[in-house]
Amino acid sequence: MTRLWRQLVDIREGEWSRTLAMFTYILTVIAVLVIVKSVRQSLFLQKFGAANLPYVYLLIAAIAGTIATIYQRFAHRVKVHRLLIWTMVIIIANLLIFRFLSLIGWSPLAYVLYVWVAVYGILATAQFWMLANYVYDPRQAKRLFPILGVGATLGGILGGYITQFTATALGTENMLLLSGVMLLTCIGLAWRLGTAERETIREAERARRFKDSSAEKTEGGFKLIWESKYLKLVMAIIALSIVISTVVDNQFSFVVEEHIPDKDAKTAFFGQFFTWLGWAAFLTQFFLTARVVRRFGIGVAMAVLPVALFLGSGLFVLIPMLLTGVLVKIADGTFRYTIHKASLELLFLPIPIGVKNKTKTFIDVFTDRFSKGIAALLVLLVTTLLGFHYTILSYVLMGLAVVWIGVAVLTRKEYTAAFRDSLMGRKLDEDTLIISPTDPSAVDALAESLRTAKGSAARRLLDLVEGIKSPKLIDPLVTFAHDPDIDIAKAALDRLAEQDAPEVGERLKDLLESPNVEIVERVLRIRCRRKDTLSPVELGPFLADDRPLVRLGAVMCALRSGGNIGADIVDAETLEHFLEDSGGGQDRHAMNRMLASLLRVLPDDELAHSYTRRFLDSNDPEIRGNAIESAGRLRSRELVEPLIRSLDDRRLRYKVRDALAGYGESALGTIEDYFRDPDTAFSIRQYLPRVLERIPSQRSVDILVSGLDDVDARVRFASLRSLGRLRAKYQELNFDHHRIAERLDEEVRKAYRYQGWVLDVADNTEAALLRKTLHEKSHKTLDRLFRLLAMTHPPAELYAACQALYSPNARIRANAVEYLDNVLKPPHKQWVLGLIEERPSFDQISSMLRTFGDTAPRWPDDLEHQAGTDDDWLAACALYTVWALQERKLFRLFERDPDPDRKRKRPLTVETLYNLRQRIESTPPE
Amino acid sequence: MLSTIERVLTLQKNEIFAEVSTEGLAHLAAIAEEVEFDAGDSLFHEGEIPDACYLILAGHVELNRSNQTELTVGPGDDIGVWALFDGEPRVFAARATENTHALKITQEDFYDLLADHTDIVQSFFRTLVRRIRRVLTDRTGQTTNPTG
Repeated sequence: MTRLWRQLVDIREGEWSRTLAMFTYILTVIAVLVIVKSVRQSLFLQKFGAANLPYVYLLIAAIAGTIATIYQRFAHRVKVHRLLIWTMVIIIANLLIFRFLSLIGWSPLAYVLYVWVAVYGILATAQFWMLANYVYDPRQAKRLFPILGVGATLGGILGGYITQFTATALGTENMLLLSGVMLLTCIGLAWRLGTAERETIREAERARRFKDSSAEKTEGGFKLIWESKYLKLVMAIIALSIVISTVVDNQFSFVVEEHIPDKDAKTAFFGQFFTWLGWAAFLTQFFLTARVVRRFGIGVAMAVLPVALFLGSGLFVLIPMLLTGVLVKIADGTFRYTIHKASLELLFLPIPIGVKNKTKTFIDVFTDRFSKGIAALLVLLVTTLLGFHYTILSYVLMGLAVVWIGVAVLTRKEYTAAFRDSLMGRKLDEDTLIISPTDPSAVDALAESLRTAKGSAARRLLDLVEGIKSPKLIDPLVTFAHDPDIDIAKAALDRLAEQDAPEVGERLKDLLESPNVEIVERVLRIRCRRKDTLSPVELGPFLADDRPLVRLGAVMCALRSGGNIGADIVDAETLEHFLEDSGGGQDRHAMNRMLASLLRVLPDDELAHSYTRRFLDSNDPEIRGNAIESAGRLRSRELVEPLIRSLDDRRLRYKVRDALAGYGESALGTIEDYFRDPDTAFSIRQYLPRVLERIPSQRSVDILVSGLDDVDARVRFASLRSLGRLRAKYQELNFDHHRIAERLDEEVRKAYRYQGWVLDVADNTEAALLRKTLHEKSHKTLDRLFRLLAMTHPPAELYAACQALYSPNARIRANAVEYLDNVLKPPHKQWVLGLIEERPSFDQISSMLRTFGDTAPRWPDDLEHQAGTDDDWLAACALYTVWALQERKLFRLFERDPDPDRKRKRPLTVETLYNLRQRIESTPPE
Repeated sequence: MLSTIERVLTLQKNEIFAEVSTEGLAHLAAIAEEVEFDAGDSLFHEGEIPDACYLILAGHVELNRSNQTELTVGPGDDIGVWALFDGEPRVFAARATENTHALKITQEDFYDLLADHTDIVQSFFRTLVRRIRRVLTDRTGQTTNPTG
């Protein structure tokens, strides 16, 4: 019972007070809506008669939507609870004014009130849901919005009862005052929510403002609809439903006007009607909507309302009385907001989210008003221009209902096609997929698509059906389970396992002969599953099967199931025995993959260690990945070296990093050995700093600082970057200032040297590559310089200052320089500011370099210096420029053979040198 | 056979590599393989899973969809670089219309390179963002907010 209650009302701790307030708020707002609706209907019919209603429909179409739109634009600028309070104050004041105007017999009041109620209906509910979106996060909204929806429905019923029982006693006009009194509750609730949820609302408002600024534009909605047959059909359904609803409303008003002459009796009757309508809608929503949609699909769901209206109107033609008129109106009001609404939501499922937003907005803004206008003109044509009795409207309704049913049939056909297109074209958004299982048509479309899909499309669809249970999926899934592509077969078996259909195991019997143990294990999982758990009784015979692979599959199955089954039946000896048994001739690789995936559940640590060690050398990334995770769990020092070696596989680096980080300081010794060894593969050495930054200790910092002196520039930079990350997070660690200062001096020298070269490089096409390279190098040097400065200064500020130096805004750049001027200390201050404040002249650069014991030769002699640097790429570019510019006096650079050490360290320079030497030698002298 | 520097100079002319540093291009050049196609040879078929991209050095290649020629590309043009990122089946088939000389970069090598050189990844992102922005600008006829 408690469980059922929890399922129905899942309100958690801390949510009760807020939800109760919100529930009462919407209940009151809707109750008042029903009261004022009854009052307006009654007053209008009494004063002007149902024949004049089409004019008020036109008036509503023209202005109500516009008022609501203007209001909503303004609404986002005001704090939500204040907005609610002030809107309620204005509404109450309006109600008082209306009461006063009724007392003095102001004739247009009925018109004004009619439009006013339409605006109140839109605004009060929109405001409430806006507040609800502020006080609940999306996860709470999913749980609690249906409860608030119940509040709205009950509000409708309550409003009906209040009107029904008090209208005659109080008098119709006084119901306006009663409504005002009831709305005072809403002011109190809005004030209470605004105070209690201040922080939540503030946060939500900030997020909302951000969301609004990036909101999708709605232009182009009509074009999208016009170009799509499916969207045109959907829009036709919406337009037809609004036209019909408006005509039904007018016909109903005629009937009431004819049968209930007294004003207060009319009001009471409307109250009673809304009570019936509320209960009918509530019961339909609770017991029928989901069942109809689930059982019969969208086709039937779309047809419910037009068929009901067709039959109801037919009945009214035969028996034109109050009861049949009420039945038609109740059928419209009930099915429109329940089954019809659900079918419309489903119709939008296959539409990509961007298109959906645009078309929905277009429909809200234009279709609704346009259709209301058309309906009004239609009623005027029939009842005023042609002068027919209002019962003729029923024939019009029947005709429109037939058209509607026809459009619904066409839409149903297009729906499946649109759904299939979306599935195949990956246009469906994830939210859609979460709710699509409720719609049999969506599942039909999925099943149909699965039947024809191949290759990557099949893989995608198999992903999409994850978590969807339907007997219709079983056939195509069984077919895919036999697919020669192992990945597809595995995915299909995983989906079949979710279907709660152990009988399907019989159809998979032949797959037990598969040479792939992963397939065998999956089949056994399906065959031996009983009510979500693996049945040891069912599994038992397979453990003693003649076929070794089936026995192994059963063992795997038992281990994977966890709990006692695995531990009871599988010990190290049994497992070894099974593995040996299934060896020769079987798909050993698949078996290893499976075993690797089970490393975490192996009952014996020693056994897990042995397999982990073995699998760490596997070439299969999946096996190796599982072994890495297992090594991270086992934390055996013996596994550190193979883990480090696994860093050479880029796909596994993140796993290795996490696994090694789990070892903490105990792995640092081995890591340091690998990091310092120049023979370690570059891909490993370059990544080790990323591992070290995940082990925040003084020793990690020291190892990284030593990396700043590495011969390889890329390792130096990787070390610097990781030091920066450690410094940002752990400022308590000691970063060797002396060594940092030494590196800083070196980078300053380099920066000045690059600046000199940039200033001096020839401005012609032949030197373009070198020029660009020098600019890039100069930029990178400055970047390194700031990273080093961040080791001894506040890192966040330094980083911001460095970024600001590249701003196009001169004021921002000046602020950055000013900041650096204040925080840096001599001599670095002068050096750094000299580089960034204003572009230094060549003489200034020359003099600065002399202080470092360096020289600054002029072009083209500096090419020789560049060709001699340790920077492989720069040296190659310099050599190429010498050749491209035909600087013959520097051709001697091509004559010397590089020593073997240089050959190894500067492969590009060597390649360029030999290549160009060959060209020079093959060119005849001028 | 082109030297690394010559390959860099060729790659540099292609818009897709415009944001990559010259040193990054040298790394790309190192993994590029020179390939020759005779007239009529197929580079790849429609619907194939992409495994490489090409940069035409000499010659011409036509791109066909459903046996209809959609486009002909020539020296300096690239084929299928973005396909390496999304792994979706080839939208076009590519066939050499004359003897063609091209640089080929395989997906595996390309990913290995990107894994070790985040600066190249950043460069591709910059190019991608610039392209998206240009498309948006072309569509709206206005300059797009760089932060948007």
